[in-house]
Amino acid sequence: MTQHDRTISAAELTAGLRNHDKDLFQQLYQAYSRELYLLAFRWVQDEGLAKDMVHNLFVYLWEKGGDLTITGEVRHYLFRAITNRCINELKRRSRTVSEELLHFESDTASFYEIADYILFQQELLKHLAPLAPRCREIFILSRVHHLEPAEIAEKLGITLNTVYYQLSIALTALRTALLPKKKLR
Amino acid sequence: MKKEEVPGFIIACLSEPDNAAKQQQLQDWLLEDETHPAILEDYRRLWQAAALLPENDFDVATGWDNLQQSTVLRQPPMTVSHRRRWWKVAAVLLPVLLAAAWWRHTQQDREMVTYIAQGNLKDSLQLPDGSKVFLRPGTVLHYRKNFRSRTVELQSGEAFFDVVKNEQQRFTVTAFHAAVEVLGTSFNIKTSTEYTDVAVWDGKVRLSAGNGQPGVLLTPATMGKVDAYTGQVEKLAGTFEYRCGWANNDLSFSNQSLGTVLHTLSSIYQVRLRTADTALLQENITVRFKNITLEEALAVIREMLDLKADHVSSAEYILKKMK
Repeated sequence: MTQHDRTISAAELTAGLRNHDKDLFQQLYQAYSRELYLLAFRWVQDEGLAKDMVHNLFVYLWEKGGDLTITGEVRHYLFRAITNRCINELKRRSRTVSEELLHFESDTASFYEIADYILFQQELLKHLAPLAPRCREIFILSRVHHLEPAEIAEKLGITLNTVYYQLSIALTALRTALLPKKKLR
Repeated sequence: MKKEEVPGFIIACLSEPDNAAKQQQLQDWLLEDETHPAILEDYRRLWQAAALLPENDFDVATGWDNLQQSTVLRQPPMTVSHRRRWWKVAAVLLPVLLAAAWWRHTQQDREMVTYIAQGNLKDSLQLPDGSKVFLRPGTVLHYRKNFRSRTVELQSGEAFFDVVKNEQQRFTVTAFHAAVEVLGTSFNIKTSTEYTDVAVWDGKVRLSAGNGQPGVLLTPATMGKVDAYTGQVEKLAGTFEYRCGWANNDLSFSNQSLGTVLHTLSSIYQVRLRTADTALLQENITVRFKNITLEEALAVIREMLDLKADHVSSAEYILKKMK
């Protein structure tokens, strides 16, 4: 893509937030907002809320970032920050905080695992977009809405074989698109 | 097996983890070639990662536009460096600022509040007069910040109101082509573009089309409906306490069809509840579920109608007659 893909170091970010550097702030948003959205969605399971969490985190960085000293990896810092916000929000709404989430909060090693996973999901979303509409629809009904192949066939008035066929087209396309770039584990 | 048939085969195996025949075929296939386990792993990872995806991708451009409004495009606070000048400026500005603050304060009184319900199952809100509202996600309410008129506009969705009693001031809920007036009571109201319906839990409410006509008086367990096109208000036959159960965790069905009971439970617990035989849906039952889980509710229904429930997936049950 563009310059936004370049890595922002912790020192750069600390200085940028202190000086209210608009360009750096925009780069930061462009580079990390989608990942942070995916991570927030993973914790809160609500698209609208996940979007709000990302928005609020960046507003906080802009307003209060002058007092922050960020060390280590920027991605690491942002992932922690959004995760803490999600925990607080879930607690505020008296909703259950999943064990996975608490584990992530307390265990540094799991960060890399999650970061990998989020990057993988981001690629996956990117490559879902160019699929043929019907194929994409069937894939989303199956994976995102968790419908069984037989239910999809009934809902769309098509045969079970067509559902399997479209799902395999989608998976084959995704595998081809994702494999050369990233070793699937 | 042909190469192009492999993905379909793997999907079928991943979709039916409990199908022993499929799983056996999968084991056989894995042993056929040393590359097969890695291929399965690729597909499995894609399959599982996709299951945790949001339906919509994140729109970075729109997100940035919104963020700019509340960050980089906001004017920084004014700073004046010279002390003397600061005093002069303050002398001029103080009355202006006071006037502005007063104006803002009175404006705020008139300000409308818009509340959009969030969450997965239900959201709750306390109104300025202490009345409580439970809302289905996505429901939209408007009310004045000062709340002197005790009026709430339900723009869309479904809400359960538990209204604080106040003899001096009636509480009114308006919806598309409908109005509900109450003193102190609790009731459920659901609005759509075609109709608005109201079911009462306790107390009395008057439901009208909001056109000056008197409408109908509703008492506990009754339900009224306003047709958005004709403005006709009618009182429905039957008992409808169960319409309030999603909000107050007290589901009371009296001689309702199993179809209604299952439909209500599935909308509350976000699961699919089906019957193997649709004739079952017509059977009527009288039952009350207070603060109990879906499993407990299903156990009661099974006992009452002599059924068994197959838990076919994490969010789906099928009820069948015992043989």
